Amino acid sequence: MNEVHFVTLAEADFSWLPSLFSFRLLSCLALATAIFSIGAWGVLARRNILVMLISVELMLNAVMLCFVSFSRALVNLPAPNGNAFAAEGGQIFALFIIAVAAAEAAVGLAIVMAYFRNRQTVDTRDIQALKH
Amino acid sequence: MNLLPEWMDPQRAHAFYADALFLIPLLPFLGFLINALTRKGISRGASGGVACLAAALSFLWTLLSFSASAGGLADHVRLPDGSLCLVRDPAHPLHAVYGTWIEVGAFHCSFGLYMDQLSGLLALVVTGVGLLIHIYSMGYMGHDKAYARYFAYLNLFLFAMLVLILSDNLVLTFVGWEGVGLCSYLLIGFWYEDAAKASAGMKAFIFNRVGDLGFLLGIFTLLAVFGTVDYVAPPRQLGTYRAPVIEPRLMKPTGQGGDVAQETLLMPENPGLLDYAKGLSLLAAPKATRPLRFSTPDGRIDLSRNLATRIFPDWFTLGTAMTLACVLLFVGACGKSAQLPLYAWLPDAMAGPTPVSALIHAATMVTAGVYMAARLHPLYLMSPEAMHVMACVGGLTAIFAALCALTQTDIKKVLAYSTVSQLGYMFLGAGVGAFAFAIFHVVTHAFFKALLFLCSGSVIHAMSGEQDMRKMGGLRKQLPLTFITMFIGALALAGFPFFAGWWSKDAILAQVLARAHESHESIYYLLYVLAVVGAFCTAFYSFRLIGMTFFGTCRASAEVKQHIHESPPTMTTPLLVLAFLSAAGGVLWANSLPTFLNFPEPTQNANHPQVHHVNLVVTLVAAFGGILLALFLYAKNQKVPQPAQSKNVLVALSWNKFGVEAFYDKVVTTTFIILAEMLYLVVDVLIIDTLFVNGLGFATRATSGALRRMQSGVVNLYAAGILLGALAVLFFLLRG
Repeated sequence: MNEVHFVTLAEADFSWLPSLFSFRLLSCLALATAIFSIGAWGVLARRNILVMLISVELMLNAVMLCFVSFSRALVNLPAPNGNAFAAEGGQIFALFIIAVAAAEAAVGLAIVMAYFRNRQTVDTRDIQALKH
Repeated sequence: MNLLPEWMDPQRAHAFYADALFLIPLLPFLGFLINALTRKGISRGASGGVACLAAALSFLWTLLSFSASAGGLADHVRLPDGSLCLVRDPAHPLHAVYGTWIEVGAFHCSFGLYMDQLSGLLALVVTGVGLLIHIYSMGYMGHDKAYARYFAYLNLFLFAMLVLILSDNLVLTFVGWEGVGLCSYLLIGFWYEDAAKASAGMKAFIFNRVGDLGFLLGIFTLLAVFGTVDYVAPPRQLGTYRAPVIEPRLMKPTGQGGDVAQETLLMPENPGLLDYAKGLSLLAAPKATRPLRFSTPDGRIDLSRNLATRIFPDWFTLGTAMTLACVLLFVGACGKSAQLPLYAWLPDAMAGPTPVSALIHAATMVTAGVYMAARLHPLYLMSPEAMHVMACVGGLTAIFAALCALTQTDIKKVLAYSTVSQLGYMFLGAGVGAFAFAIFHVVTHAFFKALLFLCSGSVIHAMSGEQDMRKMGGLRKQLPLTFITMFIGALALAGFPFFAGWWSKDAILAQVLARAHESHESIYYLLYVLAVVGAFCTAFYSFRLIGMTFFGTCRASAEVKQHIHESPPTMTTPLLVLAFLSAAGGVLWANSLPTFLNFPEPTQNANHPQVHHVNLVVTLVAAFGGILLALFLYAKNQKVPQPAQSKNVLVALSWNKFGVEAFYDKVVTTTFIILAEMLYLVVDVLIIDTLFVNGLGFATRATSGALRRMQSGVVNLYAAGILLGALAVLFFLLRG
């Protein structure tokens, strides 16, 4: 009879956790944070839809970078509680994000093109037809 | 009576007929389906034929089942000491449970049919008289355009009535109860193009609703006390013991000398209402003072398990509960059987076709209340107060309606008030404990009142639809058969010796007098006097009807006179059969019926032969006096009454029904309309329209007016919102 044993948070051994944050992982995360922030600022502050789309791509790439860096960092880790980390998960997610980002860029650009043909503008200040 | 063939094993036949009981209501239902679904596509002959065939087959099957149930059956009964004993049961009820209908918590209700002597007898009357009236209808309704619809309703009525009578629990009885009410409504308003007739149907329905509420509350009370709505325990294999018995057990309490007999009540598993009542009546303690919380020494019957203790307070005794339940059920019976506060719909119900009046509003449906009282008579016997109420209401209705009938000029109205009055006699009989004689009167009344209605239908048919007796007269020459049969019916109604009505009415009056003689309560003497006066009035108005219709000279217009003709054989044959039953129906059962029904003997009147002699003389004087006076006034001297213009106070009182209907019209209806108007203004206009409908719209517009400012059209702001939302979600997740 295999009984699943759940470890409460208080009992769990987290001594392996600090080793995760090696210098290389931290610098990768810092880079990802920077890229994400730039992207977020671009989406919030810029008025040009094309630029906003590019910023969205930046944010996606930052997230992707997080995934692959964690994946890389987890490879050498001991498996706590007998459970193996799925280190490949992060890389698979990165591939998914590339595919989704490509699709998103295609759809987004197609909409922007169609809108530009009708209204000759890509400025969000002029795109307010659905205002209250 | 045993119609079973010799070769048939009685036990197997019994089981077979029990399982096949469902055929009795099913056959009329099939007839209804055929007529209802092929309304336009079926010929007149086929339509009437299907309906009559359904009624006839149902009657035949009832006859066979009845003979199986009453035929006597040897059965092994386990005696209290454990030994088996072969008992030849004089009657063994047929009982079949076909499946569970409602199962909620401890409440259980099943589709079950039950035929004992009582329900079997009434099912025989319903299908038998019903069959005759179906046949009669083929002639009477021959010229009507909605022929198939008429027969569909008539068959549906038979179905509902048979469900009412044969069901084995109160809830299924209530379904039949409502079903016959529906059919009554549909058939009263059968000619719905006439607004007055349609509203007469509605009047009947509304009056019945009032009663039905009481009936429902009565069912709930019984359910709360006993936790069951079944009449008897579910059927078991033959040879197992089922009726409750008392087992005397000798116990020797410590510290006392002598044996103390202690009783143990053995009940069947899942006892029904009647089992409880029977068991409780076997227990020695006075029932009225018994608290609801009690159980027998060995705990076999334990009422405290039931809901009652949770609903009712401690001082609420079993007697109080029984009074409450029985009075509430009697309110339902008042509605259905047109007793005093709720009688007013029945005279108006004469708007329906005459065969309908005969079947539904005289012979069968209106006696459902009496059937209910007789079915539950062990419960009624537990509540003397409810019996008092029943006797008083019945007696007052009997005299009241008889007085109203004295001045009616519409031939059907006379019979309608007569029906109300005779129903009063039945309840009077039931109220003094003579349930068997009440049922006897139901049966004989079904014969002679159906006969009288069908005869009046024949007269109306001959008079081209004229119902006013002032425009009739001298019809005995043109309608000899109708005259003879109606004369027999009137003799039976008036209580002429040896006719059916005499046996039953005389028995009921004797029981009332015996009850008065025994209890020395003046109220029963008063009721007896009222009932005798009512009997005199009954004899008077029935022969007033005969005199005005059949004697003297014809007062109809020349055009109507030309068309007067005797009715076709489809109509006269049922008249002859019913006339035979009205004349001889009493002799057949006068002495055997009470023992046959196996009801308890109401009083010890066997010890008072003088009661019977006094009653016999009094009723005979009343009957002969009424008959002779009416014939003298209306057959010999031919007075044509004009009650509406009469200066006589008594005539005016009777013609105006003592102001009861005016009271309903003026006070009850007006109060109701004012109440409805107030409710309309407060609930409908103020709460629903203003507060809910318009208020909701206003609130939505106000909120949305504020919220729509958020939709600024600036995409970047929306993006900021998304970001903030994501951050908030993240915050709450990490904080967790």
